Amino acid sequence: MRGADYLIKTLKDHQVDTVFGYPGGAIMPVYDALLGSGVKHVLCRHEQGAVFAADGYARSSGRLGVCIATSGPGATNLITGIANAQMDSVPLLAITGQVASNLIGTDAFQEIDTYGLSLSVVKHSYLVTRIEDLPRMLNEAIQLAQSGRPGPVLVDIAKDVQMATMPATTLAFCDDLRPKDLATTNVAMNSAALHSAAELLASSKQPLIYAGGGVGLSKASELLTALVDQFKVPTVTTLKGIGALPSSHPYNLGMLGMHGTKAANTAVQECDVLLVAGARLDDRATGDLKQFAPNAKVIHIDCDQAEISKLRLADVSLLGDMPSILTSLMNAMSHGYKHETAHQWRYRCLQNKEQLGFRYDAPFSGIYAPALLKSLSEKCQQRQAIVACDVGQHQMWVAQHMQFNSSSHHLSSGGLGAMGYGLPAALGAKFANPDRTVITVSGDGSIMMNIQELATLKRYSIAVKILLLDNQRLGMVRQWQNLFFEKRFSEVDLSDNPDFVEIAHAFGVRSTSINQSSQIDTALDEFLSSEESYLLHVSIDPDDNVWPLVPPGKSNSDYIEENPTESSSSSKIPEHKRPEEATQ
Amino acid sequence: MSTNTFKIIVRQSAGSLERILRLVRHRGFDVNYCLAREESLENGMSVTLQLSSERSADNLYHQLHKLVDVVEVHQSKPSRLRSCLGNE
Ligand SMILES: Cc1ncc(C[n+]2csc(CCOP(=O)(O)OP(=O)(O)O)c2C)c(N)n1
Repeated sequence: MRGADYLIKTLKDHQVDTVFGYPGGAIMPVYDALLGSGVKHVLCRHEQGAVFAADGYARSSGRLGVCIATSGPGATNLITGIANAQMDSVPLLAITGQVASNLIGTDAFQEIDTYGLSLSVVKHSYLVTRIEDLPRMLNEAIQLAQSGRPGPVLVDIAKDVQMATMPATTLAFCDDLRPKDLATTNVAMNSAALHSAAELLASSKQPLIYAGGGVGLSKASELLTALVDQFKVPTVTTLKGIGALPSSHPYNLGMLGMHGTKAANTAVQECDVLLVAGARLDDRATGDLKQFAPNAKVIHIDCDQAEISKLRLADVSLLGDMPSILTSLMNAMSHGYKHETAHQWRYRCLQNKEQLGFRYDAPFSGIYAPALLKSLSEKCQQRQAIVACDVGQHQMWVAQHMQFNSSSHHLSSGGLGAMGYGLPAALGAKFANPDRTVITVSGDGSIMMNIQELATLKRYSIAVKILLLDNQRLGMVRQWQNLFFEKRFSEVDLSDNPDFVEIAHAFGVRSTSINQSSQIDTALDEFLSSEESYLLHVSIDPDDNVWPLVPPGKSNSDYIEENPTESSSSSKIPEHKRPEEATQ
Repeated sequence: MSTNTFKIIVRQSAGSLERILRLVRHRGFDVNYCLAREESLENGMSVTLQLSSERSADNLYHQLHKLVDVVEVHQSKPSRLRSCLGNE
């Protein structure tokens, strides 16, 4: 058995049946071993597409995502996607080919120090230069990617190792110093801390839960929902926590942070106990840390000790496996917690939710994206579609205006904010969930970053629905220039965009375009009922911005907003002839 | 600016020292002193670092601990610095 065959066999042993990749010289033995192996290889059209597809596959299924690339340019093209998986804790295995071990360090053709390059963007990485090391490194890598706080692990395999014959004796391996992640499966529950947490919550008049991506990742969403149901604690979620508690849950106040709901941000600023579950208190969520949740005692649940008290000192820390912690916490709370204590607070939170909600009553005849996404969400309710976003205003509108019952249905590049994520992530998600409707909501800037993946959709005849919100601008950057750079619009004009409908057609993908609100209903029905991939191009007003907005570095109480009626004032001027942009 | 000394036991692999130094730099610490040597433990290496920074060394402790190859991290307060370095 060659090293390359061993790799494929090991993937199969770990129930990996689909991988995403792109071949090249230094990885050819692996591509040879793939033939007839039973592992499905999806040929994306760029390594970044492949790694984002593996990420979408992993996020939407909870399984390991695997991508494969060659040395040099193949490996460098993977880096953004690996960093994305690292920032969002996605279980990902990246396999790269490396030049033969005797050539490493000689500046050989397509030789890049992939291992060195990986260090800052991975959970861990390996360079395999001896066939004897392959079994240990590969098995460790697969386990590490999925254990504890999941993340990307890269295995860079020299070409001669891929071709070498595996010595029979190395197949059973042992190692004195096993990575500790693999040795300890569960941190012993700290019962004193649990008791303190339950006491804090019981004495709280204004408790609030802050749910992050860790809830869904640790499969604790049902428990969290049970806790919220039983103790009636209002809850806010982060961008990645969306769906951890169903959006429709009465106590879900929505997303907090820079583009959070007013109800969520107000609650965080006023609460007296904040139960943070599986979140890392990112600056986009907290705003100015010094003014964040100023009256709250913080209870922090996480499996990663390095996140607890990293940015905000936790009064009580509960380290370990989220489902066990939530179960124990519920037990502890059932003794002293009386939801009547927080009655007034709950009432205020729910009143805010109702009174300070979003408005969809834009009066113009064009298409107001939030209203469009709201209808899309309503139409998708039954089928529980998976929605992958790109990055920008449209991403925030999805977070604000669409409803999710599971965090694995909302795929968004949260930590890295990488444009180009949406289409390939949706593609990967569709491979993992062939029976589910998979949609990507993209912008005219973002879609162009991985547009080549339309060819992958076509090649495998898989149905991904692409909703392209075209404001002919790099909208989010423009919004910031508008607000924080005195409307000095610099390099955000995309009014010379290509004809996206024609592009789709050229790739063999169905497509239509709409620009009037009266067309929305029919267009969405056709979009959703299509059995094939479909690109719905929607022209929207470049002046529509994302509200509310907490300016960077400000407190979450300092949100600014503008209602759609005001922002539409210039919508009658042809889009590419705005006076303030004429000089661009 | 405070100074802290860490003694780290790490599973020796190509790059384990590099990972530690990268993390230390990225998290905002200057290296004033560094000593790496093989440990009696099979496959182990010990790394002693004296670091200075405006940032909290407690966070760094956990971040170092999180590195997959790191087996143990010992943090000594500034006062114990001399004896710790003297032993090396
Ligand atoms: C790879 C990458 N480059 C640059 C950025 C910075 N950026 C953030 S949002 C944005 C504009 C996105 O434009 P578009 O996709 O059209 O979405 P819109 O904001 O208009 O909805 C840019 C350039 C980024 N997030 N990712």
